[in-house]
Amino acid sequence: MGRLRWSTQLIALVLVNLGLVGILETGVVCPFFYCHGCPAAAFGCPIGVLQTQAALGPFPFYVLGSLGLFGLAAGRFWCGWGCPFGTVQDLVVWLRRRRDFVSLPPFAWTRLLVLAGTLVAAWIAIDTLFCKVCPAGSLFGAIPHRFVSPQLSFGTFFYVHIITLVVSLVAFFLIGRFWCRYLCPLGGVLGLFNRVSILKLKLDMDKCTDCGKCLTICPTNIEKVGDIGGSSDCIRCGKCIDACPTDAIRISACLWGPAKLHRKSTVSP
Amino acid sequence: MLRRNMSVIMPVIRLVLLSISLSFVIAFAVDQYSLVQDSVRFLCISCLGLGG
Repeated sequence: MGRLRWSTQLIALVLVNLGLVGILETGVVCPFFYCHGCPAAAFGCPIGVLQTQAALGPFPFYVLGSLGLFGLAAGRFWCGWGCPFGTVQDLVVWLRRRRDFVSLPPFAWTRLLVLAGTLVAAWIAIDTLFCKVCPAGSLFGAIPHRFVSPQLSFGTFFYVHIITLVVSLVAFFLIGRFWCRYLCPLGGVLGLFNRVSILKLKLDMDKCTDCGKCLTICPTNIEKVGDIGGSSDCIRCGKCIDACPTDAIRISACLWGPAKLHRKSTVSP
Repeated sequence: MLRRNMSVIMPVIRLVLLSISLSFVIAFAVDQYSLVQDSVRFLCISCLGLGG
């Protein structure tokens, strides 16, 4: 599962950068966090476009509809299996080679707060303020442009970008998937679809022995077995699938069935 | 009982959300696709903190 996930993350990184060879410059938003200001970008950043349309109009029906389709299809699978900024966080954790230095519980509402703040700020200021401090924008937009367009000088917000990126990288080092867990506005949106999405993680409680290995390995610190797959914090990376000794967790696709988890058929004494 | 209700409600919720999302995309793609396309690789100097 791990190698497969690294592969899909790599494929996603290549896909969003197909603008590099000049064959793609689509009007499609990507289902994950990526800066469309990148000189190689092929897709739009949903948060960037939402801000632009919150500031200048029209009402972003098309982007909201696209996010609805992405969310319904896979919920936060996009975060765990495709997001380039998530990949960066996974790389930092891989280099760290140990558990989180700081253990924090999940707070789903902070992501939605960031989203609301981002859109309200864009609407009031008539500017894409979040983009000026976005660490993904630093990594995928500002820094590559320094190499591609060396004639451009450094502005104030370039240094702000560098600071936010460095602070973010330190946060990723201390707390794995820090951005996904607490700050990602797109993760806030996609997380709302985790319970209703077609592709999901399904837990078979009849097979579950409550050993807790899935919770120990979870990069988003999910605290209850019942929240795996359904919680808006779950990025569906599938590490719990690999960790489960009884194969109680699996990826399943379900258009018609319930999102509810299987219950134990027998009552424990 | 709840589980049975959920098995009825969930597909309905999915279908409603799917219909709304799909209709948004289909109805507004003509007008708004190009707006998104114009954003892609647009060099927003102030956003990226670069100067002329």
